[in-house]
Amino acid sequence: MLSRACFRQFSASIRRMSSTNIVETNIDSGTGFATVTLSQPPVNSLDKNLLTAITDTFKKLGDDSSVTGAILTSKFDGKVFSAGLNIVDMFQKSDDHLGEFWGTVQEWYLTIHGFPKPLVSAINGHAPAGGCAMALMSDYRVMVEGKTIGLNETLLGIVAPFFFADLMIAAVGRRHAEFALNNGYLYTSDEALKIGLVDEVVNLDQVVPTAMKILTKMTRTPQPAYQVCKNFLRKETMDTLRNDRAGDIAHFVGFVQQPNVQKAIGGYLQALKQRKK
Amino acid sequence: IQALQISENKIIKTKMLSRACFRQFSASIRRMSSTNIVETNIDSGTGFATVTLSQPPVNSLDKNLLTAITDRFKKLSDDSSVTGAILTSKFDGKVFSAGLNIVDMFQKSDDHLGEFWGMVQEWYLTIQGFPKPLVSAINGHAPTGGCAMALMSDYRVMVEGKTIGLNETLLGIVAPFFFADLMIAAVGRRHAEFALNNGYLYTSDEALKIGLVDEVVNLDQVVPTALKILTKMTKTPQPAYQVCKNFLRKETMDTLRNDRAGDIAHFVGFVQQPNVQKAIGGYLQALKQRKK
Repeated sequence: MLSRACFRQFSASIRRMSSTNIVETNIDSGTGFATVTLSQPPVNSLDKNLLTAITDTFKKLGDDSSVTGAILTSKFDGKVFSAGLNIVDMFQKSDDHLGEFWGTVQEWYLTIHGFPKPLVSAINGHAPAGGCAMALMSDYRVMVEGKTIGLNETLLGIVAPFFFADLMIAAVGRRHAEFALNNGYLYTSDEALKIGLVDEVVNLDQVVPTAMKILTKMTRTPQPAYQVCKNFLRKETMDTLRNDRAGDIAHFVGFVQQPNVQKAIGGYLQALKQRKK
Repeated sequence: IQALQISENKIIKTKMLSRACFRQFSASIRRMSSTNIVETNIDSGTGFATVTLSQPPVNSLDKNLLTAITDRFKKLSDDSSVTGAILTSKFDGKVFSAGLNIVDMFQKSDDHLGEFWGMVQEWYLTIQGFPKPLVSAINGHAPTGGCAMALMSDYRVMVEGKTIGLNETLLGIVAPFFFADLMIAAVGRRHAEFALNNGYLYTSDEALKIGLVDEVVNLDQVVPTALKILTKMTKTPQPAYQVCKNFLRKETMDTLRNDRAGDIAHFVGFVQQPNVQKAIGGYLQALKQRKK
């Protein structure tokens, strides 16, 4: 009887949304906080499946009136938050494949960046490229000590899209963004804190609790004021993308299909293989 | 080579040594056909160009120097053996560049002003648009155009104990929009507004604090530090570096490109105002007094 009573109490406070196994979502009915945990092994590479699962999850959370805010974190605690956009999806693929992939990237950006409720990133591991971008789409960044974060696309021979660059500029200003983007610089946790790329750096076991504390404060701000304000401040770049998604896709496909870019990507993938040996 | 001592006892040995040394030396350092106001040395090993502004007394950016700098960077841009550059001054420990030549703006015809400003535009578009990593080794004072030129580069290493800033308003003029944009990009809108409105000249340490320069070092460390930075920057794959740099800087450069004539007309109209001419005249007079 005790265990049944405990289970009822437990299930009354934590509701698991119908998770895919690559994105786990738990909603605390008491607070209305959703914890979204990226769980695609080995490193939460943002391929079509994971991008779609994240996008669908946040659309549902956006529509769910019982949800007041969310934190975003990774299953691979102390290892990696997300390794970023899946480079394999950009190598030796057809124009159609690239176009479909990029459309998925655009939808993911517009959904996470446009999420109407407070969103805190609990960055519990490395966050290069798209992992960094995703953290920047949130409203606050708590990061574990001793890892790295940055938009390192140029190191792979590619260039971050304009809406990634805008995220970086918004966070650290134009000077740091130019240096960071041109050089594909990966900041240590402490360096990232220094320039404002992340907001707090804590021990691993404090990452999620700290994110929760911040979310508690943020969700006290009245709605819809929070949502209207957030949307107004982010609207310009998002509208630029919305107004010509096809053009942005064409630009991406044209750029990535260049022989020298394909060669650089191939070289990077080769180097990755060597490192694993 | 000049350090080789030729003594009677060792003439033969020294001659051979000096020839071998010269060959080795010339293999690694290639001097581009320099004008004497801009010296350029290219290290064939690294592909790094060192551009040294050398117009006495203070590298005032007059028509000659603006043109020489612009031509040099266009050549370096086209030279596929060049991977990056540092920009510095001959007047080590004194002045990086005193900025745009104010004499070229005082009691001149509209045509003269228009021609001068067209060169300023071309210089800005060329340096700011340089497709390879560029590090400024700011080894002396850098007011007005000197500060702007340093801001056009990708990284700023400055000597301790000097000053830098866009002090145009102290001269009674206003920095052009593309100078203001450089300042805003570096230090943000709040600092840029204070800096520009007040024509503030930051000390090296103050400049470091607000991000106007990236590092402050002893004089003998300025160029070595700049080279270290350039070494790191040139490791980033091309053309990714160039495409990224151009995309981030494009908007303001395009604004200028799209109406250069309008910008010239605006400059001429502004500078020819009697109160502006009077302020410039007063500044030149005060300079003369200081030199006495």
